[in-house]
Amino acid sequence: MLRHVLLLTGVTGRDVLGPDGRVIGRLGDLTVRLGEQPGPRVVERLFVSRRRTPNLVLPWDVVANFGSDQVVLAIGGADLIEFEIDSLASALGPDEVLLGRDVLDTQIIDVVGQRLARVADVVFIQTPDSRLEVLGVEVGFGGVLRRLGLGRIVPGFGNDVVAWSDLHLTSDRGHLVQLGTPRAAVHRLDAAALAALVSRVDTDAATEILAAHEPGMAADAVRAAHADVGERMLRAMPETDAARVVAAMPEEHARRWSRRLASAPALFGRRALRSRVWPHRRHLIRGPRV
Amino acid sequence: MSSTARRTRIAALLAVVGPGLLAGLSDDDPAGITTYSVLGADHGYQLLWVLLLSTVALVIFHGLAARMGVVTGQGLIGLVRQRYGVAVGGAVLAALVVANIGTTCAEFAGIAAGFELFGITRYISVPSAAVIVSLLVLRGSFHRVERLLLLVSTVFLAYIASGFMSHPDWGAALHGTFVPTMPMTGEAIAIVTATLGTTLAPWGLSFMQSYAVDKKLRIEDLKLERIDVITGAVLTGVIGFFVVVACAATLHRNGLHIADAADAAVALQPLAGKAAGTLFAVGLIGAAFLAASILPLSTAYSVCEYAGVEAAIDDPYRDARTFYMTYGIVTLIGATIVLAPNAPLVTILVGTQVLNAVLLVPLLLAMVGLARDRDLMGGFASGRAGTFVYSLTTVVVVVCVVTLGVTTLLG
Repeated sequence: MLRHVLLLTGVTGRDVLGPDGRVIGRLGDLTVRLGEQPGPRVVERLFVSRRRTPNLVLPWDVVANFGSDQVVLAIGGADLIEFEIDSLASALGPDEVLLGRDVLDTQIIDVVGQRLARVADVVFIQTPDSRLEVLGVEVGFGGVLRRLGLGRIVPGFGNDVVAWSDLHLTSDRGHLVQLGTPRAAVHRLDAAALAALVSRVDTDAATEILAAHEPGMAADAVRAAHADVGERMLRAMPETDAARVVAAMPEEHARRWSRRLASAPALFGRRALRSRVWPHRRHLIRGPRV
Repeated sequence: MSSTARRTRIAALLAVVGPGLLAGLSDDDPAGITTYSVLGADHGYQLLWVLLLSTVALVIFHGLAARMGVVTGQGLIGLVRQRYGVAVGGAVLAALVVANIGTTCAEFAGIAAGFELFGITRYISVPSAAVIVSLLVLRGSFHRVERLLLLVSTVFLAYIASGFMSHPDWGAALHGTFVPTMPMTGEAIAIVTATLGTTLAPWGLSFMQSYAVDKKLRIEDLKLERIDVITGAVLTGVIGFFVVVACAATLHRNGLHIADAADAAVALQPLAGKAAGTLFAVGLIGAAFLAASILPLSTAYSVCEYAGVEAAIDDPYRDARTFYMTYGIVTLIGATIVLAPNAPLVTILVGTQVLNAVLLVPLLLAMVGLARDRDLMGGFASGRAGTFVYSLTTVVVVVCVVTLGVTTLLG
């Protein structure tokens, strides 16, 4: 059976209807959990924006039909009151992110393709039980042109999709939630890949990534990185954390790094190294054309 | 403070400085110098207070751009796309690219005019400058590029020297700076708005933020970065002050009118001595060279941020083709238009000035919106007081831009 591929920008903005066919609001966003649950990553909840009444965050269970141009709910009227929210911030679970707010148009790290990219769209596939499974994110200029309605006018930009399991989110919430999720891509990296990742993100995010790893792994990553990048990381860390990382290095390296950190640097290790450390690669996932 | 601590602090400051100085000083480009020259030649010391106002606006918005870059780790156009979507981001980028190409033309026109004062034809000076600025960014490392550009900035000292040589009336200059008075003529309104419009430029704002990101400044650096921003803005204002003073003390006193900065350099020679005129011309060339390097750089950053393509000055060409191609194309178009025999240069320059002014409005509004966004800025989001200051500055700029637009369109 051919399964439908959907895009986030294609589904948001659809009317959300009650069982009686009356419009309740518009589909504003979708959430996924980045936690430990096994199996494919499916959409958890729907954010529905409404005028003059509080917005809703609905579990997927209440969706009766996710159609091509509208979403029909199995409940309506007074049954919706329990799903009304005051603010999105308090409504989200600790490991839950909004795909529109925290992923779309944000920067991601493609940890397999080893590059920094901006999300042009989020790609779903409809499962046999009519849920939406997140396949990955589309990156590159082709998706941008399509969203601008220029996809056919300016051809030549192919689809480039990064699998959901292979990316690290850099949006504030996405980054923090993924750091707290042991199964996330950032925790499966070896020292060399971790070194490359911390070389690309901003210094504060990089030190948070290193702090989420054991000192031994952080030490290996610092040693694997360009010396200037390693120095920038260690200087940005709290002194005790930096000392722990240095202590986890082999003796000779630890001595050298201690000496380096003790001296006042002329440039504080600020070398603008971002993509030099990784080759650029494109990798298309096989499957239905987006 | 011990000498070691002082040395460490100075080293920290030196490591951070750059974005504020370069973004500020490159605003004193040939268009800016021309505006200041006309301001001084036509109105003497009376409108010097406008420079104080534009310096304050520069401190406020360049400081905000640096803060947004440091906190989010993203450039302005990337953030606009993230917060307002691809359509708004694309429209802003398209206008920015067109305006930047036009402004690059203005910079190369400044290089051409400056060298022609020394008898060097534009067919040698412009292509040479285009090749030099391209090689500088293509072949140089981040820090080498930064140091060279800062070195070029020292040429602005020529304006300060030129101002002193003109023997100005310092009392009248100080009075004009701190006591605002305004002749209510269309000409005066136009030059006041043009001064604000040329100082706070869209490309300067986007460059400031992108460059702070590329330099990998950290939140801990923000205090020192503020010094960098204030120094850059104050120097920008001080240089403008000396240009106005030089022209007020000579051209205005003798009732001479000028059309551009090159005219000013020529007119200064008999009045303030050959050295003053020569220094003025050297300053013009240096200012144009600095801005001609920054403009394509600012455009390249913005295009890459929007397209989602990674780019940094330290990247080799094979890893950052979009970045270097954009830099090269903007430089090439800018230089070619200036050299084209029948190109409508005046129309392009006036159109660019209007486009820059118009673009400033949505860009400032977007910046105020982004600064308030707690999802993006976290604890560094602007509160009520900050938003009031940013909004007030934006309103002043909007009023000026609308007035400039009206006076430009009505001639």
